[in-house]
Amino acid sequence: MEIKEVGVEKNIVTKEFIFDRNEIEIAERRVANELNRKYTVEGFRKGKVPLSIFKMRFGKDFYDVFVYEKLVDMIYESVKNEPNLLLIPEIVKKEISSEKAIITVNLHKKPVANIDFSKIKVRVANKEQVLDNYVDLRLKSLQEEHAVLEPKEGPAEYNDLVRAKISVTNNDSGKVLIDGNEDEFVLYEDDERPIIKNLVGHKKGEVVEYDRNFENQGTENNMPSYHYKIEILEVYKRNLPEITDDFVKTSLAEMHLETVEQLKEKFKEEGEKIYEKEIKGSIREQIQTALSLATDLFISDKTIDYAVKLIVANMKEENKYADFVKKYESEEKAIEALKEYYVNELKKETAIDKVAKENNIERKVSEQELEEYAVLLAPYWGISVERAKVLVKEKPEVRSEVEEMIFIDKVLDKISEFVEKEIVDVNSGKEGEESEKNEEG
Amino acid sequence: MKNYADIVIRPIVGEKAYYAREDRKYVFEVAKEANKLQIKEAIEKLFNVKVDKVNVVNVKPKPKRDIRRGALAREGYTKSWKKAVVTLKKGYTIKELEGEH
Repeated sequence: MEIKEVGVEKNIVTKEFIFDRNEIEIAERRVANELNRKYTVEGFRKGKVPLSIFKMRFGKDFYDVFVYEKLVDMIYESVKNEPNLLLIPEIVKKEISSEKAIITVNLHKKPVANIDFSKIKVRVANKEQVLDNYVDLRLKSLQEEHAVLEPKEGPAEYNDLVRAKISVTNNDSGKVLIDGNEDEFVLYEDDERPIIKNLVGHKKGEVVEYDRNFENQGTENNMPSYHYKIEILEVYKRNLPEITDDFVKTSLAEMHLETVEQLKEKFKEEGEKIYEKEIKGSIREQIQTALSLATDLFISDKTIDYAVKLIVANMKEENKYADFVKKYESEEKAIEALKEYYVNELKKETAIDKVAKENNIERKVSEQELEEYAVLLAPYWGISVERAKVLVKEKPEVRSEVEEMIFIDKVLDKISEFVEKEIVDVNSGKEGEESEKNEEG
Repeated sequence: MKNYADIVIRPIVGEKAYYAREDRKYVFEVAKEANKLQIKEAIEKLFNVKVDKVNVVNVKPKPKRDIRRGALAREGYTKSWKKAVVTLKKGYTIKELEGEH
């Protein structure tokens, strides 16, 4: 087989594979053997049909279909070890006869990526502010937990605790949804629920009744309406303890701390761990999102078209294409979306590979890294840590997936060293959103 | 008589006939009433070759039973036909039957 390079266009190398008579004869014999195994021909015993009979029976197709397939197999075999091959080789032209065959193939190589790290900007929450907020929140929740309750005869006010018996009835059907269940409510001022607003100002023994319509359920003309009957059983004034050294020593004895400062320090350490973990995840996510925008690929449009063609063929084979197209207005738009998705994913993948190569980051991960990742994944999978560790190590497909995730995380951490980080003031504007994010972990 | 195409009905393609071609022998089904001379002439004109000799065999009908159709089961004979083994003169082959394109 003679291989000639006939052209290069960006990431596509076009090659001509020329087969001589001997190679075609080998392919012919292979075809005859295969056809003999599969078919019987009248007048011949099974497996005894000569090559020329097949040639006569199939006519031109013998070369155009069967011999062609064998030659393509030979081409695939020869390009199997070609470095940086992105897609399976694309056959663009074929001329096959019993004497000579020329098959022109486009080899789509992995494109070269150019990453502009200056285009990636990462927003990072102000650590000091987040930690201060976290400590405040933890102290507040400690106060709430250790509130001293004092029965009160007067009307309930904000920040009091009310124990009540609740009944809820559907006004239309008369169906009783809640029948005298006892519950406790702390009347926080910022709690917008009607039940809280209605309890304020009422004394022990009083019964509060009101109707409530739920706009989100049912149609506009048929909004379900419910009747609430709340019997106040007890009103307590909540005395929140002051967090002092004494409080720390007595009420939080199990923490073995002496002073408020120590307590704050402990919360700060706790918050710092959560912050570090969350901020790392947040930075990785932001980089991954921005990576495709910051990456330019040296890629031919033909490669993108061919890749999309392969994806569509694959989807059609799995009967998923029709459903996919339905999500878009037209088939053209579906293809366009597919192209965009493919290019973005390719940009990310290529950029990650490039950074990994430049910084010698290997895909191979240690057992310890796998175990650490299993610990993180266990809650998402809803299984025990031990089970997750076994699963990650024993199941090859899970293992390779986790190895890939660890590899990507390593690369993203490396990229984070090159990108600009903007410290965000969490106490102004988006305070709620930012601080909430860090407290969740 | 008839057209040459009416004399030579079809080539017989089977293992025995195929390997007989190595000895320049070609097997055909021919019209029952055709004689050796007519067959020779027809083959020479149709395939543009020179015929050395022609052997003919009258293939006799064989009993045939179709027992798989229950009440419609039939019994009878296969058709009788004439087989001609045509030997070509040295240096001649029938290209149309060689499977070359």
